Amino acid sequence: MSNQTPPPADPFGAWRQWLDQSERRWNEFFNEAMGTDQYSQVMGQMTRGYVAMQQQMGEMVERYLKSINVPTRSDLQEISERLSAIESRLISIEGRLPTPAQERAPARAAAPRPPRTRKPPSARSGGAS
Amino acid sequence: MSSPAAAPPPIEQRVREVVERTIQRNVKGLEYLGSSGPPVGLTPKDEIYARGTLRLYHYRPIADEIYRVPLLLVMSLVSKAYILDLAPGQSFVEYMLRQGYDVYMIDWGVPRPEDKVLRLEDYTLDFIPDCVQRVVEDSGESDFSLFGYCMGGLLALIYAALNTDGPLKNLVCLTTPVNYQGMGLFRQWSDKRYFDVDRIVDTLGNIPPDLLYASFEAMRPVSRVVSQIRLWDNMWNDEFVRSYRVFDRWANDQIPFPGEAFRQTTKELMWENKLYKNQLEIGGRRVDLKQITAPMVHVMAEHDHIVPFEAAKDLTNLVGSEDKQDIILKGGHVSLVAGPNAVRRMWPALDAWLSERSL
Repeated sequence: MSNQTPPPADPFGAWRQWLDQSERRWNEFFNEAMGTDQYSQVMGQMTRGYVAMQQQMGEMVERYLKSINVPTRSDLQEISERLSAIESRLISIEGRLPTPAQERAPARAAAPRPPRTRKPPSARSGGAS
Repeated sequence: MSSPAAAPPPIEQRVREVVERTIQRNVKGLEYLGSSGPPVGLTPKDEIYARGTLRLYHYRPIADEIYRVPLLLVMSLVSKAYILDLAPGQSFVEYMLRQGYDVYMIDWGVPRPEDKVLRLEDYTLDFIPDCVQRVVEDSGESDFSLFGYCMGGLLALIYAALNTDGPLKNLVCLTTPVNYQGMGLFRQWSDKRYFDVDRIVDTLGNIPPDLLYASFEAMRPVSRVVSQIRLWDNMWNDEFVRSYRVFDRWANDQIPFPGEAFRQTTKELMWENKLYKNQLEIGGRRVDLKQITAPMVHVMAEHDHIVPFEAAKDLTNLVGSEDKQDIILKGGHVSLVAGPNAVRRMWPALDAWLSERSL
């Protein structure tokens, strides 16, 4: 879009061009500022703060939920992990069973499929000539 | 450049056009605010395998005759798979079906809290080989083409390097980072002196999507506001608005990054650049890209701000394939794979390369 020269008839053409250029310039300006060590340091501190806050919040909520006898996130996660383990074992058992694809999804297997005989356009035009 | 023959329309016509667009902007702007998000991922498909959050889909063929070799798409771990199937007319999957490919897709789904333990080993030595076996079985063919976008390309590469006697026929990588020295701001922000990845993963488990979204947005801090101004400017244009909405939905629809895979990516790739240095070990085996001998193409975008050209450009030199090619196109990380630029540039270029090798 930015490559298009606006037709002279477009009264907003100059404004659009200015917008494109401003976007590029400001992004470059910010990228330069964000590419410094100082910025990475500040960002690292902010991320540490965010993580610490998440940890404290999580612990507080967990303590509160336990006190009112309601399952916490870690309780649910524990159940979810056990379900996943059961699911994995089922998959591995299913994998060992000699069940062909047709038996797993008979309707899909019975549906007609197009022949795998397609040739690329170059071969098709070559064959026709 | 504009032709000198194209004379500007008369002043009254220009005024009428400006007034009409202004009215349309207001009318359609209200409609926009009141309507729900656009549907995505509509191309008909069957789920042929499910495992945890992983889904293996087979898209129903559209063409009367298809290429012999099936095509398996692998998505990145950080974004949703429907970028490859946005909407009718804007769907890479739909395009490939129309061109006669038999398309499968691995959709990793949205990681659950317990998925924080998943490592690159799980994806490349277990999940992908498992799905490949099912694709081979379902298609009845002995080989397949593998397509990976962004980090999906990285997973595809590792799979290909560690399964050299497998059924891989062709490897297609899109904007795949290989030299993490070139990862620009991401590398700078994850500097090991300031970025405590262990504490983040140990505390949070999976990396929350808002943290990832914030870092993606920070790469182009002004673009969000400018894109909304452009939306207002083009509110009269239904096609523009439709396209904007599907992209906006995808960009805002981030998913958590599995914790251990994030730790591994940060330490071994971002910090140590081990894949590039031929030192990366997965499951105790070295990922030597020279072991990849299947025909390979790497499609890159000139103005990619997520995976800069510098980070991607050396990939083809590192793989051992004799038949290998770089395709460098105009555009950015997302416009390479979806949107009007992709329809005109990437999709036909990829079809031209793959069709010759899918017999």
